[in-house]
Amino acid sequence: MNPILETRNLSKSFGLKQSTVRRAARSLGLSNQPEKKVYAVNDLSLTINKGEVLGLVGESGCGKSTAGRMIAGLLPPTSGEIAFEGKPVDSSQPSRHLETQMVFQNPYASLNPRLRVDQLISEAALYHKLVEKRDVPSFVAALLKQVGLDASYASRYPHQFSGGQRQRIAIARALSLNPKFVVCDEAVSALDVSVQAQVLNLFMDLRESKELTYLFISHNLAVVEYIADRVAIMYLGRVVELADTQAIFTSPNHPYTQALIADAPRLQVKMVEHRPVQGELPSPLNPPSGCTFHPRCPRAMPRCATERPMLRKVAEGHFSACHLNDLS
Amino acid sequence: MALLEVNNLVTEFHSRAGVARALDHVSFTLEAGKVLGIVGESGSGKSVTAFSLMNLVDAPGRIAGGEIRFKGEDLQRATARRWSKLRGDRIAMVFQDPMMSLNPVMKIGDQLRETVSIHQRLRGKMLDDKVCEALRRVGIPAPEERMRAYPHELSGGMRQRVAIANAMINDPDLIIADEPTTALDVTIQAQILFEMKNLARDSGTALIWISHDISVVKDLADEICVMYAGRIIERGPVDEIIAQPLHPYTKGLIDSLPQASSRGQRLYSIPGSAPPLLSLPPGCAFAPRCSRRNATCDTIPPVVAVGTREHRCFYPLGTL
Repeated sequence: MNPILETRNLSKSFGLKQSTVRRAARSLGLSNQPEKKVYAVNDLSLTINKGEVLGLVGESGCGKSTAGRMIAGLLPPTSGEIAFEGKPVDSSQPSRHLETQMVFQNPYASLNPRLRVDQLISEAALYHKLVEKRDVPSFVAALLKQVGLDASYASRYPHQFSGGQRQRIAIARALSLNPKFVVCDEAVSALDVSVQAQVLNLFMDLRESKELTYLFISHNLAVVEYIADRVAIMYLGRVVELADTQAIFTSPNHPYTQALIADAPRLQVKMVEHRPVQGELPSPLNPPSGCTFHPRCPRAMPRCATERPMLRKVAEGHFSACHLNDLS
Repeated sequence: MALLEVNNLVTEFHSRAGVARALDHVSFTLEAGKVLGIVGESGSGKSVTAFSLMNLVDAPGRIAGGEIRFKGEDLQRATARRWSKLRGDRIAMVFQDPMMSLNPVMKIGDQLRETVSIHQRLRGKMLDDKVCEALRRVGIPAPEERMRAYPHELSGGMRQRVAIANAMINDPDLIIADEPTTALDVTIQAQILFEMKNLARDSGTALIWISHDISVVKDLADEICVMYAGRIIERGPVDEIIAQPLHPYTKGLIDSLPQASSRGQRLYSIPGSAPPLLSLPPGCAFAPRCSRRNATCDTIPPVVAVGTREHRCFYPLGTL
């Protein structure tokens, strides 16, 4: 195992908007009310090995995108650290982006509508002086070819393309700095099924030809099951289970993972009078005590409401944060 | 007599660039209490079908031909007055984004009360009880309190439940749901699918469920229609279509879904992309992307019935 990226106790909190009076009172030491904070990501410790695809799965608001943005260097962590190839990463350095790039969910929003395709793709490479101005046309043509687009598209604008083509342009832009690691944040979720298959194939091709490592963030379990080698399941800012894809899907340990897999519509599996998990994701402003899943958990015990379970090994390479594992 | 009969429905959108035929001779029937799924990719005409059935197509679009019969009544002849009696009472609709169908400045209880009182004479406690019961049926906890909430105070899943309660409150004969769970999380989607299945079964309401994802409709629908470029290219019982698609496009769509069994291999992907409606191929709209095409495919394939199934293909799979 050769880790390419490691995060240690990575956390991100966002302060809430406060009235001027209250802020002034605190700075003068007149108020002892603690500042209200939302923890989007809590104590995230992940190791991603070179060449693998790690799937990061969770429902909206669980912190998976915040985690991805911190790992891609787009958002400074509140605490914790990120190491790339063994060396701690300084997020303030522009050169940090040479190694890690990101592909976003919505190609209609992530491409500047006023830039031509060649400008979009070459902007970062020119900034980092990876390419000379006169070499831009051939540089862009080579990248467009890699993502399966015609070189003549370089002089067009994003609005002239379909959703799938735009996502290819976004991928070409991410590849322009020759990164080793790509964070894909719901990169195929906005696409139609037949286009989604094309883009997934492109990700697989690039993984082989460029030896890329992916953090693949998605809420779509079928996509993750197809593409990921290992899967981390997040719930309310924390990883609750981490294992090989096959282990997650055939023998899920955490009750939340079990519910998620049972609830996801899949073509082969017939839902036989299955009763979906009750309740909704609680507000991260006011997270439940103990295990944050206990209000929805069909197997919750008194202990779950008071004590937070830690992520522990349940089998080789399989980690889960659940008190039920102490019973057996 | 079928609850809903749609015959050769044509809906067109007029623009300077030409006439886009968003629905081209769409025909299907729906029996009372049954669930019909409509599946297709973006731009295939799923939503236009829903809007045409509700007579909600606005200029520059118009229904250019065909017939919609609802309980025997020809809806093409229905007046605006007749439509306002039908909509919300006999036929109701649930949209993808619940914020589109809920009024943001009106309390939830008031919106549901309005839906009832427009169609029935019900007041006071009786009315409140009915609204409360409707909210409880869709799984909203503490409905007495929720009635006093505004839509923005609820989560996306709860809002969609309110929109469904609003559609079901007058016990309509038909509910048209246009991608109602697409914006929701997996566990919330499963809850709503589960509840809708039971509600439709218990109340005998027929349901048209539109989705881009065939695996979502699979457990809910009795029958599905697969749409491509404004035409229904395949129709039949959902299990049979998934097990043995007849139209090459349906097969392509099913094969493109990522599955555990295809891990490590490349996914099948349909070559090319869907044609723009303004410049459709002369015959079968799928022909340019189809591996089974031949010269015959330059004429529009007719609807062919095979037992309980229908398709529009000259060379369906399983033959030749």
